[in-house]
Amino acid sequence: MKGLLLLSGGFDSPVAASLLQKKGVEVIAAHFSYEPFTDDGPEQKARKLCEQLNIKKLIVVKAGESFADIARKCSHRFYYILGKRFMLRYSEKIAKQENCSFLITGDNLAQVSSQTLPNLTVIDQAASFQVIRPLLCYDKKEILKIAREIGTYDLSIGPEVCDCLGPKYPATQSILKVILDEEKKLNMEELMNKATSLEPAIVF
Amino acid sequence: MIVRLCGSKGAFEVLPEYQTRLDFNKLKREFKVVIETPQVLIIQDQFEVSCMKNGKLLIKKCINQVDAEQQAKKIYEVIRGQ
Repeated sequence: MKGLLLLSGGFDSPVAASLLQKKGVEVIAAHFSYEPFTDDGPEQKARKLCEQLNIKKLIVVKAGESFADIARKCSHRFYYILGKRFMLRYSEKIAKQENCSFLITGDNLAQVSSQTLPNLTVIDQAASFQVIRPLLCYDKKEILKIAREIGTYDLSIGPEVCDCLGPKYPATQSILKVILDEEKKLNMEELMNKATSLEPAIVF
Repeated sequence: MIVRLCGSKGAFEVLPEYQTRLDFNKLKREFKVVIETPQVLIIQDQFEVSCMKNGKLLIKKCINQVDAEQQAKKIYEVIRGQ
């Protein structure tokens, strides 16, 4: 079984990958780069995390322009939900190309605004692929403990700049209809085309 | 201001000493704009800089702290109208 991990560079997604690897799942990764809003630091982090976790393939998606479009055109409080739905859609495309059976995320119930149950429900409906969330009910302390054990803690440490486009008070209780109305403000095909998977993928 | 090297060691993050709200219009008049969103303005000067509304700056492809400080000072001076 092969799954595609959405690898951010933070603490959670590498731990999610490790837990599934221990169950015998082959994990490859996709990293969404926010350049030019950030430098290439998060991408470098993602590379190091893949090496540490023995993830053999990393696909880097340059998606800064697509995230900017969401920030410009949609209600700002839904930015994270819309951004995650976009990432799921794009990841599904990669997963099909890479013959993966499902997507993997480091989501952790109610840790941040996009990870409340109503928001996860709305996010999930952007993709037809099943989304596996091994950390859903973990405590953050448990996640950090595992991160130390698998050697990813020090690689993940450091400020995340990926939320620089996000709102101060994001929506925590979204409704699918409202989100679909927001997405009508975007040209989804253009949004998908603006993001580019760097070729070739990084193979370790 | 607080200037610190990012984890990638290829950029500096700058935080203003006092609470600052960046007026993007002032920056747009003074610098070449790379990308604009309501929350973040990316400008090109000596370095490419992501400017956030709350005053935080990310000075990219910069490895020298003195250069980063000079770039940040120039941006904050434009904001203060000096």
